[in-house]
Amino acid sequence: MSLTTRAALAMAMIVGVSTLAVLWLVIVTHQARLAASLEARLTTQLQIALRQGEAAISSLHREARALADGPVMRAYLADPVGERGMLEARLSGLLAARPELFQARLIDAAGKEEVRVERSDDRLSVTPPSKLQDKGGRSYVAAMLGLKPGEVHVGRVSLNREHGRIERPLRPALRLAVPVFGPDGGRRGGIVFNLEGRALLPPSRQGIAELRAVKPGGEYVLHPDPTREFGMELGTGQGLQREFGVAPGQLIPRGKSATVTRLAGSPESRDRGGAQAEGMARKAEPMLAAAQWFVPKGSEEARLLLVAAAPERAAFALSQKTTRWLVAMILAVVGGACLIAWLLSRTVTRRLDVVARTARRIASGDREAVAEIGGEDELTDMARAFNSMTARLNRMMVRDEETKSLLRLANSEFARSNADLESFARAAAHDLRGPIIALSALRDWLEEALPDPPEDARLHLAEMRRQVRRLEDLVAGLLNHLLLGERKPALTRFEAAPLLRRIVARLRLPAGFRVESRIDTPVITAARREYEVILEQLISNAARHDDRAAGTIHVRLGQEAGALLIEVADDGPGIPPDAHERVMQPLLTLRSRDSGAGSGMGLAMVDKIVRRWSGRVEILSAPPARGTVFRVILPQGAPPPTPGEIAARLAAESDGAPAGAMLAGAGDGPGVAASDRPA
Amino acid sequence: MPHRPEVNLLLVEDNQLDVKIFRRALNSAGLDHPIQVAGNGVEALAALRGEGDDPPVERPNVVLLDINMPRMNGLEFLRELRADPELRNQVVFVLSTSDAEHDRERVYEYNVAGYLLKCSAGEDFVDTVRMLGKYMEKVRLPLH
Repeated sequence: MSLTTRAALAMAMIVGVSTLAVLWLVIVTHQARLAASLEARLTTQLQIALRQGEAAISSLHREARALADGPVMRAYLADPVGERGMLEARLSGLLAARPELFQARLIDAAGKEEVRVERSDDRLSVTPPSKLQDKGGRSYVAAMLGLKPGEVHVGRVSLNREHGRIERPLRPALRLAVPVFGPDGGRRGGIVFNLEGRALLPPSRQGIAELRAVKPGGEYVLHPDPTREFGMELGTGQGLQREFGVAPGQLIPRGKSATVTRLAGSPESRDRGGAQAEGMARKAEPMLAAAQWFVPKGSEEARLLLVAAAPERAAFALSQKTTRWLVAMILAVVGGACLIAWLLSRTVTRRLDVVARTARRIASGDREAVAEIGGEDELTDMARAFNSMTARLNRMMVRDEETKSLLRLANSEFARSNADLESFARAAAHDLRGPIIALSALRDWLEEALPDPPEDARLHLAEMRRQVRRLEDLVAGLLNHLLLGERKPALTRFEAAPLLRRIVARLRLPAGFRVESRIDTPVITAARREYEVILEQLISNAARHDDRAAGTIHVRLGQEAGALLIEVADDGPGIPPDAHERVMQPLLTLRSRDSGAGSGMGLAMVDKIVRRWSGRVEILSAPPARGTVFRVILPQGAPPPTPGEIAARLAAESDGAPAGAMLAGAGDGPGVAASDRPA
Repeated sequence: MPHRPEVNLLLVEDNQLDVKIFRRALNSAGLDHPIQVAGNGVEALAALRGEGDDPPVERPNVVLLDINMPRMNGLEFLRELRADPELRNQVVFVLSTSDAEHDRERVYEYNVAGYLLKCSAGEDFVDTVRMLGKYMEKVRLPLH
């Protein structure tokens, strides 16, 4: 995923999350206010419902009083037989004008019905006098007959019954009664209206609010779910107690103005109300409810508890429009953030790309490439640092190349002069052998020619033989030293003890000398020829430089830390410390030539071998204490390269460089010089 | 026993003293093979091929070759010799002052019969020459 995309996604995520967080915060901080607002709405709904109820009762009351005190009633009371028709017509007109009324009666002071008009199946009918009933024992009649002028009685809401059975569909009904007095002020009975209970009550749902009307006993008269109504009368057991676990009196004491309560669904309602799936899901959640008692015209028995309730979450519910608007806003903000992040990081990455491209160009050889980016920020700093780094690298590389070519030049010069020197020395040593041989032969012939020489001539001849022999040794030593390392030595495994024995035998040491050996490593892996030379030279050196005719030479062959160890200890006079370096150099001996010194090449050969293997020679000796220990440490690595190989490697390294040609020429030097040289 | 023709020697050597040393050593060893001397490789090739008026060195023969010589040195001579179909089977001993391994190996690449060292100690060299005489007596050399 590119940096740009990642930045855009990160930005979108941050913005999205923080938007949601802010939204949540706003909801939380406004919760109380939102709840209060819902409460206010509920209270308002409740007040409206109460006022509607009161208005309905008042209106009917006025109607009833107008009838009771009106001219028709007065005329009827004056002439019940003659004016009966008028009264019937008046009642019928009333029923026709008020659809919520389904019965209007005049009941006399004894409780008998005098006139009755009713609505059934949308038809008004006047009950014939023969069918009029005596309602003397009914509670509402008793209440009515106890009313003073101007008072009204409102009965409780109950289901309408016809001939003792609850009418279906359910028809909640209530009675409203006003007293009727004669012109003399005597009680003549009263007017009773039977009216639809629902006419008094508001609709069960108004907006988000649900309205419930509860009888003092807890029975619902009005409920959004009609099956819960009239739980007592119908014997279903439904009611406020069942639904919310509270009694009406607990919700609000009598006489108190509207209060808001939080109602949680009672466990009972959730368990047993299960039959109504719709109800169950809804009652489970807590609700806010505003409740107030409604007492119509002081009729205590008819009082109802009105409850306006709404689910608590309704306070926080957003309208669909708001939600849509919010989602669109969030999406727009997130999208905008995405775009801005993309654009921003694009400006960064585009400039980074410039640096990356430059780096690639430099890598592919264009060392002059420079990363050019505009602006003035950290990226510009980076590009500047990058440019100065590459410039410095470039300078370093140029310098390095110069140094290398100089080094190559010096190397080839060195190799050539070294080779020249070697080939000269070799040729010299080589060519010296011819005259030496001739010298030796001539001396022999001289001896043959003089069968009986005088004493001094004999001595001279003897001395001559010695000097020639020394010359020969010297030249042979020089040649051996020069030729050492010409060929790549092969590593072989060999046994140490027999090798040492053979060398000692070959050296033919003077009679008084003994060689004692201690061999820690019986089988040795080394360049055998060179190992032999070292041992040979050290042992013969030890014997040659002893100032006594007899001595013991201790040889120790071992191994330590990846290196071979050769120790040769004598009991001779020792070597002063300031001469330790000198003895290892070619042609330098510590004693005069005539006193039995060697060729002067022995230790130099040892030194040359040891150096080539990156080893070292330690000399432990401190006269006047007797004895010298030569300790050779010879690392067991890969064989060192021969001069030819070194020359070849140098040539290969400088391939194509101007120095290469010179070196190739120099490389031939040591190879051909030895024998192809014309005499 | 059939008649055995005498082995001819061709000494290729530029140094007259060395020639003399060799002759004396031959004498000391009691050998009397006919010796022809060539001063360098070119002369030696001419002698073997019989160029000019002289006939070629008769076979059986053995060449004794020095390495360091003017005009054509020993190695150049050997290269030429082995390239010549007539002479490629020529038996050659090298006589050299150099004891270097390097020189020895280069010479043996041309299939020489032996690498002999000139040395100063008189008896040693006589020994070498005596060995050469024994060789010529016992070894059956090519005749053509």
